[in-house]
Amino acid sequence: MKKRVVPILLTLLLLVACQSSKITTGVLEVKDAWARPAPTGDNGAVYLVIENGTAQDEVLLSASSEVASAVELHMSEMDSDHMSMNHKDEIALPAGEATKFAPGGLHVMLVGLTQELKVGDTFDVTLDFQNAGEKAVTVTVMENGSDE
Amino acid sequence: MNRKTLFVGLGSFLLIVLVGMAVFLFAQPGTFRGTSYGEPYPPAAEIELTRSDGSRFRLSEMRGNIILLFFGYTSCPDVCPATLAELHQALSELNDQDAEQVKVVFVTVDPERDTPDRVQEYVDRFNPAFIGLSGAPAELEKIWAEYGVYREVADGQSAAGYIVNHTARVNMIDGQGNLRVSFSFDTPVEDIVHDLKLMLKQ
Repeated sequence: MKKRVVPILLTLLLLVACQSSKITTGVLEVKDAWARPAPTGDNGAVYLVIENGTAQDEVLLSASSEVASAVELHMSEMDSDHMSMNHKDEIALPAGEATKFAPGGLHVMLVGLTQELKVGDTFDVTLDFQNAGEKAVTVTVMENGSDE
Repeated sequence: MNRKTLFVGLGSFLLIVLVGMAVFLFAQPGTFRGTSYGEPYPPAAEIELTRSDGSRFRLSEMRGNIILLFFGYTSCPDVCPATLAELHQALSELNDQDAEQVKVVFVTVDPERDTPDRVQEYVDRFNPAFIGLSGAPAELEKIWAEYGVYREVADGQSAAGYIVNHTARVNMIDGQGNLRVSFSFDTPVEDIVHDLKLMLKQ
């Protein structure tokens, strides 16, 4: 009897562990949005986390904001020491996964800021998803994000 | 629990302890965490450019200071601000006397858009002690070549006009003007702080 309990318990533990790495909130959530301070006319970047807690794969199609003359989806990619920044037409957000937009990787690029971004300010960015449609996100301006 | 399991468990524990001790012993405190240049250390090539205030900047006149040299451009939204913010963070973890000995020098890879004024204004946002430099394309091309800076202008990637893809390494130059360590983009700030403290002791 005792011999059997251990593997069953271990299997259960493993199952719980696997489950917890999948996000099953049932909703699509955008979290921790931030941007660095920058003056009018400059370019900026918004960093955030998108948690796709739904059972359906999602796609981020575009982004827009009143604080910039254009908003684009970009990804910085490092190939040995060479950093290149590439435009993304869309970004796949697999079901149950969190996709992180962070410095040196995915970011929402703000092209030509129409207003100064000061530490402590907040502004809105609208993300357009294939299934969920448009979602407004509040971005906080700070020197460094929580993950740095 | 039977005996075999106990032995295997104890054995693994001992092994972990031994490996841990070996790592501790061999990772001497005197080693840089960034990528070290081998001896003899290559001398850092001269950089001579006019600053936004009209004065002439010469790298050779900076001897006695530790230089953190980075190539980037002011329209860069992601990697350049992240690097400058990290360098500022690293300096703020040193005491004032040490921080004053470290000079951050940012040289543009985009002279078409970056005037000396614009580069200086840009770096001032991160730390007013940072030195931002631009110049004529011919002057800069020589510097990029001497530091092995990869630079590629990519059109059509953004409404921002063109993008300049570039080397994202930060070079550390010692007080004698030699290249000592380079840091890749993903180097943690604490490793840069560690290497700066080590360099300051030498």
